[in-house]
Amino acid sequence: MKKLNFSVPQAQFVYRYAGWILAAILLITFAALPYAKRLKLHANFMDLLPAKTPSIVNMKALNNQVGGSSYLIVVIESPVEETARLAAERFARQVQTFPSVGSVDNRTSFPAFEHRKLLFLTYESIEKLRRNVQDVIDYNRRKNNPFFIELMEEAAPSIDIESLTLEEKVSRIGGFSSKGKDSFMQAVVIKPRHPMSDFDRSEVLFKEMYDAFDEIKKELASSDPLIMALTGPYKVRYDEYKTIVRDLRVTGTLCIVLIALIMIVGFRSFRSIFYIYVPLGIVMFWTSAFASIAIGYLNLISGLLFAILLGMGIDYAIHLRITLEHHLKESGSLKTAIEKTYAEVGRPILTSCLAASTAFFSMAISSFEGFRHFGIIAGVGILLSFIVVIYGVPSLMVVVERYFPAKNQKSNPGLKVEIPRGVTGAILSLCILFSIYSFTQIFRIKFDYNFANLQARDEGIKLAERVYNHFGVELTPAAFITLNRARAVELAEQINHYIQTHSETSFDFSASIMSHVPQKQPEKILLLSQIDDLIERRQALISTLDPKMQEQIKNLRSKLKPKTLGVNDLPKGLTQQYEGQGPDVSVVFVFPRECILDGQVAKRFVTELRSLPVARDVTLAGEPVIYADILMLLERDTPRALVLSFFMVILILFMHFKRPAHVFWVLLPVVTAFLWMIGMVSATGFKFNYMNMAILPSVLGAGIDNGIYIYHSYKNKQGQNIFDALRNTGKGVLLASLTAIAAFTSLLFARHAGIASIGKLGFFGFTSCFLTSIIFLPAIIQFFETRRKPLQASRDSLAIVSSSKSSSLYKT
Amino acid sequence: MGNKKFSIIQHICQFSNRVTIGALLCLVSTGFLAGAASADNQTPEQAIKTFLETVRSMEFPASDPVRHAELVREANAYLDVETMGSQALVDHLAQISSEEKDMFFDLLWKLIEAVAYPKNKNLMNTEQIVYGEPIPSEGGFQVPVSLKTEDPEAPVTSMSYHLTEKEGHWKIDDVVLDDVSIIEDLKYQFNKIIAESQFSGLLEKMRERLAKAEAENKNEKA
Repeated sequence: MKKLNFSVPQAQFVYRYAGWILAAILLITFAALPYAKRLKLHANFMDLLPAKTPSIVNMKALNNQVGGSSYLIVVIESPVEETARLAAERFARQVQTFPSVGSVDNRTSFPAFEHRKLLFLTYESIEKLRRNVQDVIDYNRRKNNPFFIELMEEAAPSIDIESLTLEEKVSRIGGFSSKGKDSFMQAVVIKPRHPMSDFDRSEVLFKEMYDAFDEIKKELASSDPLIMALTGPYKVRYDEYKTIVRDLRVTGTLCIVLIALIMIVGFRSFRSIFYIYVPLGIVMFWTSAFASIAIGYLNLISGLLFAILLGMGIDYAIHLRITLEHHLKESGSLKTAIEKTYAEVGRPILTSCLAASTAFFSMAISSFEGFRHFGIIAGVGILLSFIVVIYGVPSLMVVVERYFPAKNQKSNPGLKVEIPRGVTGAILSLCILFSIYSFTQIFRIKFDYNFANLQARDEGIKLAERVYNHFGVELTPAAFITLNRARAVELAEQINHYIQTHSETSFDFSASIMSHVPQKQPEKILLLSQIDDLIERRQALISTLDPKMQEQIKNLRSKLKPKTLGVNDLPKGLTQQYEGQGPDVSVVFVFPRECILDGQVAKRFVTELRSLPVARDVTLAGEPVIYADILMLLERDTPRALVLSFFMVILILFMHFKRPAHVFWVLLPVVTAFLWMIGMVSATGFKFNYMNMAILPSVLGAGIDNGIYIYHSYKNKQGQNIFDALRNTGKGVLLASLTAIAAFTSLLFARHAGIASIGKLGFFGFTSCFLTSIIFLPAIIQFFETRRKPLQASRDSLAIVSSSKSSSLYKT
Repeated sequence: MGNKKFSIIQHICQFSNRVTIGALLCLVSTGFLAGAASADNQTPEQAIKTFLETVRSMEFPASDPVRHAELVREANAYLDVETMGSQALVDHLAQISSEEKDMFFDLLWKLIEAVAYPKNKNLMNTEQIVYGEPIPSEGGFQVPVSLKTEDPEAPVTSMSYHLTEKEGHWKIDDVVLDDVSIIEDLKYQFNKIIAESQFSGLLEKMRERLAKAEAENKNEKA
């Protein structure tokens, strides 16, 4: 590799053409603006997988044929039952006309279901109901008989239809009404046409629904309070996404403020903040424009890009600015300062930039679009950061200092710290002890597979739990698309038989359209008519019961004369959920036994679905399949990308340092930092999860950066010990590390537990990188240096001199 | 000729048979009705009326204990608690000792006095009582009784008392409500308790209930 020289010619070029360079940068920025503006965030899980992935193709087919596979639940509440019922009925009718709504189930006001409700019970449950009615009659008869002497504390029997067993679990899902303590709740179950993970379309649909509800409220003109709330998987996932976006906005602002404060304290001038933030802002525009042109959008992973770019870019800017400032104060000439700065940190910044961008480009090998897009955009973004920072910061300084020269350019004599002899050994011993402890904790790392543990527990989740408890079913089924109804019925029976014979299965139940048509209807109708006769014969007794029980029996009687329910009697909305508009498709839904937000459950569920012996023309689709595919790819590609990144970084380091021993010293702090991070994680009981794993490459990048700067400085200062070398780079490493730690600390204030866990892991990771770079690496180098070449007897103590008064490591 | 003679004899026999059957039926029905009115010269309907009126006159708790004891004795004379209790306990009678049996009937009588009479009184205090025609049934008579309120819309409680003649008195040995005999209801309860806690458990429950009823009756006054 030809040695790049950033010193004299580059510096002269920048000094001479600073204005032109800035003009070019601004021109490119203006040209990039329209593209950057066009960049959108696709908050859709489907965008994390390649478009040709079978699960994506099948999901699109499922959406086209029958709509999405999951549910949105609208809850309408009022203290007055009639108001809630009327509003729900009107709402259901209106929503049915929305193009984005596939089907609406408000079966409480649908006679085909309401009067035939009891047919959906098992025959045994209807028999139990008959006994129940008989028990109520017997109990009250005994009580009414003046000669009866109650010797037992007999609880009054009741008629509880809700506690009876449904023939098909799928019948639990549907609109329902429920009386709460102070209000009456009416739930309408909706199946949107778009996938649950398409948050943009969900947002539009939710707005339309709230608008429609407002209109209904006006139409009803009722003085009774009437409220509407949305829940179900569609809303819960959307809320989670919004929480993440909100958290990123809040923590992002906090992060910028914290970093600015650190820099004010570190540099003691607003000028430095200006020199650092302006180029970084420009990098953001350039990278956004690139992403817009090359990919077209950001996905949920590449959405994190700006935080990464800010973190990495600020490192380059800090190192450059500190060195420039130092040499400017020393020489009094900006031209000389630029020359010296380029000579001193130009190559380390380039190497660091190449290492980071190569690490990110390595992620592009993944077939997981989340990683691939992130790798490409972040890799290019890092290169752009380098260009803008390396040319932009000095050019900006030249132009600004020309018109607004800074006062007090005298060089700071620096601070000197005396460290007693033996401290290095003590530090080293402590470092080694903690490393040994951390090593023993490697196999004790805990991983939390459950995304549910990462959600913010807000009102939406609590309402969802209330509704889910009513259904008793996980509302995220997978779907088998078959070619006709007969095949679907056969497959549903086959799967249900499989469930009965496999106690360990992850399936709860499967359902085809025919699952909504009750079995043994003639026998059930006969049994129901017997209950009706029983009630009829005991009217005199029933009329003596308390009004509540009388009302219950009256309601029951209204359901005791059902007519047979055929598939053609089913509401269109329900049929469409299974068969869409045409006869050439019939879907079988398979519901999971546990919540698929637990990654382990999702993977087991989908693996088991794929292991079923289904015909070749039957396709598997649904959100759980995509979700499991993403998790499987994440698990497969994360270690691959990390290992490849690591080797690519080593390659870059070899190109820079040439000698394996030097590469070893650069890698030592980052490897140790990873070890220490594990130690901290284990000591605090912290758990890794799918979200916080994404920051590991950043920790790798930051650790290597620190190693490069410190070791490069040490290597180039022949005759100086490592602590002397730190005098030049210590402040940069300190500020860069503190800014990263501050950025991740700000994430601790996130409401979303997943984001907060990123903050915590980032804090552990970057603190480890900082400590290993600034303490462990110098200590161990010093240890070997002393053994190899004994120092002069007069050197009784080590000296650390820093130009910064702010560092806690240095004292006046 | 012989055939003709035989035919005349046959006719005579047939006629005499009819007369005999008719006479027998007249005798039986007359005897039955005579029997129905024979006990204390009361009809079953009158016996029920007297019983219910006696219960209605009771006070709980009694302001005049002597008068109350007299009324209880009068009402008790119309009840056949032994038959009622024996039938309700039919599945267990063979297994229990005579002491236990005596204890059971003693408690049952006391419970009737402390629980059933107040319930009967409460029931009748608010109702208008309509007595139906006695219907012969199982060696006695069923007397339908309807309890009505002044509200024509209000439900009518219909019961049926079964009476048999014993030692020259009409005695109530069953009360049927909604086609179900009190004996069946008591039997259901006794069987359930005995299955859970033996016969001794039943006696214990009866004692507890008696104590509770007596306390309730006292509290009513307070």
